[in-house]
Amino acid sequence: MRKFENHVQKVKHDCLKYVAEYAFSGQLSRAVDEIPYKVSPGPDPQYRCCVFHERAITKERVKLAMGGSDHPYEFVEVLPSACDQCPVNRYVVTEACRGCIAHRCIGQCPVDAITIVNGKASIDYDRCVECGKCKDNCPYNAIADVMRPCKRECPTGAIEIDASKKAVINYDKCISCGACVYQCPFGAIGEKSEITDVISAITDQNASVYALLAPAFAAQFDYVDLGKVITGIKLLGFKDVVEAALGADLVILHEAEELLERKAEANPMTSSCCPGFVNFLTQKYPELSALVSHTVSPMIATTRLIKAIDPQSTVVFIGPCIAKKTEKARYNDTDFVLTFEELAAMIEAKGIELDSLPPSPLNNASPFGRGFAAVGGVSSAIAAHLNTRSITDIKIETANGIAECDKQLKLLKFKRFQSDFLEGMACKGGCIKGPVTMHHGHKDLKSIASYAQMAMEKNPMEATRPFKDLAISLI
Amino acid sequence: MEIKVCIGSACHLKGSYEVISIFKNYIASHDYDQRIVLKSSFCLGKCSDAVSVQVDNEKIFSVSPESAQMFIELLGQQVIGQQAIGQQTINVQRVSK
Repeated sequence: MRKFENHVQKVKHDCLKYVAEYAFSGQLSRAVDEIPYKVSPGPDPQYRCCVFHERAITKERVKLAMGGSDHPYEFVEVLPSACDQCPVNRYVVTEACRGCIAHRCIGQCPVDAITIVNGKASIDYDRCVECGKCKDNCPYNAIADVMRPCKRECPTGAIEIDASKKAVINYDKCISCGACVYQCPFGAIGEKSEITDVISAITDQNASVYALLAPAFAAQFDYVDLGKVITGIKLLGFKDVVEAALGADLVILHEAEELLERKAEANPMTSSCCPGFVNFLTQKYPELSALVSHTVSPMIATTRLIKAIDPQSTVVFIGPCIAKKTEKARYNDTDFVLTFEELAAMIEAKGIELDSLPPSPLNNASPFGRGFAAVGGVSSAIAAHLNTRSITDIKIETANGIAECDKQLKLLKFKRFQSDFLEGMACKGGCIKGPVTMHHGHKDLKSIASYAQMAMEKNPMEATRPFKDLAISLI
Repeated sequence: MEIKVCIGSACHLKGSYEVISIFKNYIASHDYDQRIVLKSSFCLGKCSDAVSVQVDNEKIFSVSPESAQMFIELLGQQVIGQQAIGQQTINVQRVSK
């Protein structure tokens, strides 16, 4: 049985599962009205003030699962009725304040915002500049930083607060990384889903629909043998399951050549596989856009490979990433992007008992292609490939998480970047720590390593040898 | 004639890349490039047998790397119009086991 990491994950899963059930049985038109009553039958609420509030939230969640708003480039949405209007003021004086006589808080405050009222510190929020000095200097830890989790985790400052204290996304700043989606403790921010489009594609008997699995797959479904999940995916109606890591092998070979060309021109290059990183770079450092590798991502490369072999096919990428939806919209290759959470919901909705299935293999890519799922994977794959060609003088920098990406991009901007290649990963730890993975555990890295070692092909050259004549464009 | 070799995971593990290279070598050495088109394919639905090979979008044969040479030679003969494939196929499948 799947063990949910928290209640928010379960609520989201239940909702997706019901939507998938309605889609499979062709009754989607009733989903918005009926699912809220299934999730909250009443009369008592489960986690909010009353069942009516819960149903209103579920309704918004169902709409998001059915595709959300019509805005083509806005992939993350706030569910207004689910947003709990967390405190707007960042620092609050808690019960722990003892009204001491040192008053370090007052002494350190640069704007004289703190006074003592009834023997306790009190913050004047009209003056407070949220510097945090009072918090840092209180000997009793009596001042708490209660910044909204969505706002704190957003790496680009895209979360704003409206007049009713609800979170609002500024889409001019949003890079669709999904940090707020994963971090909101009320599950009030979600991503638009294509689950119903995918279900109508796989239930069409005449369609050839392929599931393209991101290598972070190795860290999913930790409660069942992964081979059984592959069988389950085929039972859903997918014609075949293909590893995105196979496209990563194509990418390694192409990107390594590109890197050598750039080095010859004395230009550094950044990776292009992480859409969160690419979105961040193009938004905050547009002048560096030319430095991004022109090689497509493994998702796009594998999609092109599948479509070169089966031109009539529909390709569904399944991964741990919300930003991949923006990448899909930028290109005209992959048809749909699903998350592992959505895949799990579809399997449950179809009534597939994974445990009872025989396992199927998933084995085309090399260990290097599979390594893309963890931070450092792209770098080590390119270095290893260049090594086989006896090229060892390439200097590589890895940026783990947006904060580090920002630092390296700043260096690039001011021509202080000392290496030849920058691997940028928006999620700390890489794709295995993506916002919509099923598990965020410390075992993830181990899973990826053992999955990489199970690969039959030993390197990208061997894994891609039958595709040399296919003439797939990788730019 | 069009030959599709499955490169899906199950067939890949049973040696489909080898089968492809054996076919390729045969086609190149006999100058059959114009007459036999070799393609890859994803799952053909026969995952429990050896490598699935589909001829002219019809019958699916089960070919192992060991029987691949013999199989492609039979197809080669068919291409030049000497023999029908029906009876020979049975032999190929027996060899593969």
